[in-house]
Amino acid sequence: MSPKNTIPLEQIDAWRVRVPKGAVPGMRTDGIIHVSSRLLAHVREDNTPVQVANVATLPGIVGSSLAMPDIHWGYGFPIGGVAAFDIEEGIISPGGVGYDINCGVNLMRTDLFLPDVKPIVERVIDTLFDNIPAGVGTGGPIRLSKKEIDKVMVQGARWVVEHGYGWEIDLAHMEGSGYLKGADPDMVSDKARQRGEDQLGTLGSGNHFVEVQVVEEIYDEQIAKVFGLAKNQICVMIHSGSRGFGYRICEDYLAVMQDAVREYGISLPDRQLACAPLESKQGKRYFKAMCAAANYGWANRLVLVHWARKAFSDVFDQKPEQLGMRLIYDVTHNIARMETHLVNGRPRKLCVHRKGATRSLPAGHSDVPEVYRHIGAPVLIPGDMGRASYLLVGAEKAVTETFASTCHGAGRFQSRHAAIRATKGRHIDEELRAERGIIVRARGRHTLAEEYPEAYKNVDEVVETAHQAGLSHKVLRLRPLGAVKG
Amino acid sequence: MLEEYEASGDLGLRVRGSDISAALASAVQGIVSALLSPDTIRGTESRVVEVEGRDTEEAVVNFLNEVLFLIFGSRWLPKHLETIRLRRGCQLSARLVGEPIDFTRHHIEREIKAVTYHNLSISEDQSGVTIDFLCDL
Repeated sequence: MSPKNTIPLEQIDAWRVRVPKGAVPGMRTDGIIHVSSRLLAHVREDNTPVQVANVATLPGIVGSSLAMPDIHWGYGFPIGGVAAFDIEEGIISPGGVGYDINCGVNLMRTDLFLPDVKPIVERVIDTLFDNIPAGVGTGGPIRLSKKEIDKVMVQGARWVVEHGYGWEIDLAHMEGSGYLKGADPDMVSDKARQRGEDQLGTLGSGNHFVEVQVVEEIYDEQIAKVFGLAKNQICVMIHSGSRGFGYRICEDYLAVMQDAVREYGISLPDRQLACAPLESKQGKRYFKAMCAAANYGWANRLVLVHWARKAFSDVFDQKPEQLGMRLIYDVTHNIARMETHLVNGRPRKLCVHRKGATRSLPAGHSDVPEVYRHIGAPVLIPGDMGRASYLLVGAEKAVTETFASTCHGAGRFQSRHAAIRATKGRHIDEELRAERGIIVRARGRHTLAEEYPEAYKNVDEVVETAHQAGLSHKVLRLRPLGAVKG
Repeated sequence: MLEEYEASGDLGLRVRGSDISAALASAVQGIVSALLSPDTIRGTESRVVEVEGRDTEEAVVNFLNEVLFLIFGSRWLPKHLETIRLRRGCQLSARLVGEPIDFTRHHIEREIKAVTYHNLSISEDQSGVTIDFLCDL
């Protein structure tokens, strides 16, 4: 675990603390962490404020180095970190996106209610478990030729729809229609392609999951109605990313950036922050490859939606359309995007890095899909497999304070090691079933111990902070009925 | 010597050997042990891995990531490191012994996304070389 925080933190208001410029040498701006006083105690327990400060040393940073309420220790950049860079003077960093490029979450509604699913939830979870390939060490059922993988890189979720694994209407319910402009397959290595050729539609391991959830509490009835959701309604949430394809692209370009750092004389406090000027050849190449991985990530999650629809269809003996299995939204939380933001009253084009942070766009924003323009873009916050997840919408204050960003999850509280120690001799699957009625299936022998609920911060606290701080607006809380882990 | 240390949600490994070759042999063992029982791997064939970096740290990270590519990209499991040579402090050439993944015998526990530069440390004293490295899970 990282060492305990030693740098000073200044309280700004109830929801923000400042990491003052000068806290580490070379800081070009302050850091600001959005946390409640209770969550701040977790932040003080590890070294994440130093990571926020380190990001503030990078060239061309605009505004503050930001952290969301679920901040926790990462590689170089903290997880829950947001940083915006000027497109002419700033940098782009693979470490600011993470290895799992376009790791993200989607949420699908159904017309089913708790009484339809509760009595057969074990069968539902087992069928999902059988239908959803983890792809760990092996591939999934979709094999992509060289030509087809190029198309996935460029088209993203559109490829999935054109090949019968998704619905046309799904695209209108995904961030950016499940696609990021700018991908260039020529910027992707043969090794990355090899990793990606049979992993489309696979879940992965670690904290990736498919969960069957029930709407437990509604905070904004009107907006919930727009999503077609009511109390006790059943939803499916999926968390995955761009799989080995994205990991390899990140790794390839971290190596490229080690050279770039020397070439452009960039001084770094941590090699994992390796970066290149956005306008450099290395920066442009990484952005094009990252877009390709982002598109693979959206395609991957939409194929996973297809497998989930198939599983429900098998169990309930009805077509997914008859079960009302419509995608509510799909968000990424690991990405760098070119966006325009008002800075000191002037619109500026920036490259916004979000590593474990979700875009939070309020009603009326031009980047919100048309179907949701009147309510704001949905924000999906998964918690842990034993407590809750949330559906929120974007809020105005995020636009002015966080480059339109909010949290992405609960945030880890215990290390894997500590989680395994804490659960020694326990059977997490049996405990979840007996104490909370939650059915879980995992392929890895240690996954459930490493991912047991208390290894994470309480998502209620994190989401309440995001809501109270005005970074996003709570709509409803979902409780897990069962989960499939990789 | 091989030990796992606290590393948030990920895998931290500390390996030690009489020289860098021995330490890297332990590093390969550490990675494989995190994925499956090494006893299930047979040494039926060998693979050569050659990498270079701008310095020893980069060569080590590149080498360990190539081992991950062998496993997750080429679906081939190393049982042990047969030979490894570090030249000019930044070029590594290794021969690994192992076999292709056979899912009837090999249950891969998890994925490792990559070996990172974060808190990477290679230190040498009179008794040998110690490498600390973090794997993103």
